[in-house]
Amino acid sequence: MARYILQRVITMLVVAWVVVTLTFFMMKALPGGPFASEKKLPEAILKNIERRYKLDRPLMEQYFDYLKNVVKWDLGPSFKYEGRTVNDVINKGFSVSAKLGGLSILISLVLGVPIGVIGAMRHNGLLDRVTSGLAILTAAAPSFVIAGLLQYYLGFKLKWFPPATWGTTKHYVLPTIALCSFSLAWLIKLTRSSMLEVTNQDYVRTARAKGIPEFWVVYRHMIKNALVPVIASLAPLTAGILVGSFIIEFIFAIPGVGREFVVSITNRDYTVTLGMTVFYGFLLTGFTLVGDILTALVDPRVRLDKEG
Amino acid sequence: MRRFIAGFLAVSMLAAVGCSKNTDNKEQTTDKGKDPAPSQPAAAQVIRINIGTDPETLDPAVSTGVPESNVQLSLYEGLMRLDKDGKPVAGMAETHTVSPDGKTYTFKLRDAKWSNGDAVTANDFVYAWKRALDPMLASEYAYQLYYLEGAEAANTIPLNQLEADGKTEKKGADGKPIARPEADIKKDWEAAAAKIGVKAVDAKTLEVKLTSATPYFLSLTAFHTLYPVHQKSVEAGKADWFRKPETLVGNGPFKLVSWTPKDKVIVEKNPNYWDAKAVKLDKVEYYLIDSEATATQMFEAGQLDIIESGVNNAELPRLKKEYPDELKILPDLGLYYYRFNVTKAPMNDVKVRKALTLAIDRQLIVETITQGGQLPAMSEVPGGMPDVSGDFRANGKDFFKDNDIATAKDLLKQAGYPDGKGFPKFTIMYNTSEGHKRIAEAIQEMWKKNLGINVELENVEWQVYLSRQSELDYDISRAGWIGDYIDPMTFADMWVTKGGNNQTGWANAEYDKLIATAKNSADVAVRMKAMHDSEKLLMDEMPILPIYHYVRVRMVSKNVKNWSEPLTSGMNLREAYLQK
Repeated sequence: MARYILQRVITMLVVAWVVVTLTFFMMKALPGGPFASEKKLPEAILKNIERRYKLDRPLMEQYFDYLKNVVKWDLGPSFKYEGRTVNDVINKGFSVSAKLGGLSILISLVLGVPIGVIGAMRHNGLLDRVTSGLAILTAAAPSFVIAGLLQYYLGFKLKWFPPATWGTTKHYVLPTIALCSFSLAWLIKLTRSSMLEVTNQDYVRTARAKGIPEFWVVYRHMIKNALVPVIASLAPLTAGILVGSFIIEFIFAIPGVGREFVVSITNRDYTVTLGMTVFYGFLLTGFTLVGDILTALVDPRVRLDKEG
Repeated sequence: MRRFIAGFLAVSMLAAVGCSKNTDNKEQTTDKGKDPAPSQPAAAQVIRINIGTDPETLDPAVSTGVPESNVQLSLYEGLMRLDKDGKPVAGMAETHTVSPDGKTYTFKLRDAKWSNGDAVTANDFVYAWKRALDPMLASEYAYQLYYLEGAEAANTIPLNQLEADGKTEKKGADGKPIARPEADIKKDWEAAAAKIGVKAVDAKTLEVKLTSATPYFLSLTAFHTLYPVHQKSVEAGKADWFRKPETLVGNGPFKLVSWTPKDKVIVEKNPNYWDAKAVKLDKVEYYLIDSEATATQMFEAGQLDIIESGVNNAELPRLKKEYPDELKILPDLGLYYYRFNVTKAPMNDVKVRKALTLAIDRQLIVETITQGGQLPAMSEVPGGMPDVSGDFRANGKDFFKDNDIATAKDLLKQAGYPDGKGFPKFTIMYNTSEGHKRIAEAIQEMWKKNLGINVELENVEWQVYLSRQSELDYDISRAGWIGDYIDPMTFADMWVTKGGNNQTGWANAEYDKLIATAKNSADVAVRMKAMHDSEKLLMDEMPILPIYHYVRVRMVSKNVKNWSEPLTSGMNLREAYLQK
């Protein structure tokens, strides 16, 4: 198992390096730069700025400098926001996005898996029809529609919750609902369908034939196996939600990392975009690794090591 | 074992998420305990204003944007400040004198204090202005100080060794520029900085020498690039001194309480401000909401008092009807126009340029598309700028008739394209935006209907748009310009030959001469005449197609009194107050 993890960690580092390199050169290949604006700057002033941010150095020198600093997890200064470092942008933004995303994932899991299981057990029952109908609806509706409706009705009309901005616990409610709507619906559908698939498996019939109590059959034999695809899909889902949703953060005016990411691309804030991409890359590969190990532990067909 | 590890990993996955919950709550505590619902007691004078975007900086020497200038207006004050009509009145300078040739200004400072209690001295201005010009600081707006003697030379000392040695080639044998040693640049800078035309005669007297008479220099001293900064705090606070209340020491009516990026900037009354008794607000909260829909809804729900940026354009017709007293449409110092690439056929023919310009119904565009009260532009320079007497625009009048289809058809025929026959394929390029698209589509339709010519539309991403425009890689390109100072020159000098903002390929020696005359004359009548003549020449040659003059759309609650936002200024809340 240690060997397996080591292998995966090395792959992760290689992936991270590829991500850094590709993003670095792709950013440089994009037309324009962080200091381009509709009002053209005098040449000499542009030179001053380029010197200050070391953009006048040869490209390879910039690349190796950047690589060295990434290893030290020093992602450089933001070009757009004076006096802020990329590390600061990520730390501040991620702490907000992660709180929001973590809560959403937690709620999706706690509600989604049981609802999916119950729905599959009472297949085509009333509860099943209602929940899968709702799940299809929320999964199909874009998050900005849900966010907009929540904000308008619960925020502005009924005034139950603050409609936008960030700060108190009450501020969490609307964006969390909007953010978890998709992942919740998705988990319900996934759990339900993989439970239904498992129901017809031979080993379930065998278990029932042996006279094992129904609760035990469901818990021991069905859920455990049905959860394999759920766990496998949880890693990218979690990473994606944790780094924030641009749309949700934009609509609710939340100072999260998703907004920073998208804005940095239009701003050509090279270092922020690069830093965020690298950060997201690490997060995604990290969670995928955790997800793979979890899958291996739950699914008897996957072995971490040969003798296992 | 396996189950144990699975459980452990699952828990740690969630814990990784949960951990961050406990940290970083400190910044938000300032807002805690305050009900988000608008239930402020009448006594608390707090204005909540949305400025849309997170300021990039609050260092007045390097900032360039509007959100920054809004907050800085509260935190600093220049030698002059603008009153509610936009006229420069005494700020830090109590009095001033100008030499007969208009080139030397002597300012006498009043007894004012910084927010930490230190006295504001002439040296603070010398420090701040030289700092803004320092190539090491690399301020984009350094050129706002180029009016000073020796300023441009100091700001543009060579950074490249070959340039410093007076060589013509810019790159060394290996194709790379050769960076100069830091020490050499510093030595050059110190020598050049000593020659910059700003001097502290004594603690309260500042002498400024300009390269040429600049009638709008007084207004310029109210602009943020020329604000003073507190040397000790700037140097103590390092690169982010303006992000911390301890080191952001200002001399304006308010002082910084907190700044949470992408969330809020909060300022409170500065008791050390020289005119503190005029300041009635206890606090101003600058919201940084960039969604227009959200900002507008918050205003409607009474959770914002002012929308400086972010009135929902899509809802303007409804807002106009429902909020006639709150919706304010203010004139702006800006022009929305199209550039012609005059180096390319058929746009190299002035008759074609004129025909295209005349065949547009501007009134229809502002009434049905932009709907924000914009003014059709039949000239370059917008209204609001003073002439020798009266308004420059009103005196200059329009240069052509809006929607003059007959003349347009005639011109097109003269150019060799009767009824648009044989007109080559061409394209309007614009940066991706719903608003630009709708205007371009309307113009496309008008040209087709009125002149029988087909134009294609091409939307490109912002940065692509900028670089293609400057490389003259377009036929017609959308553009906008907001003036920097209240003088027609802020528009006129764009079109000089090879000017950085020209980007049309248009070059005209006579035009250059007129601009030079206007720039070098101390006689207002001569200057203004030269600028009127230059505008006429520009409109005769038509390298640009004016569409409309901008306006500023704001929403201000009826409770907010005594606010002002003159041209080139941010929202001025110095004397504002709430009355419920």
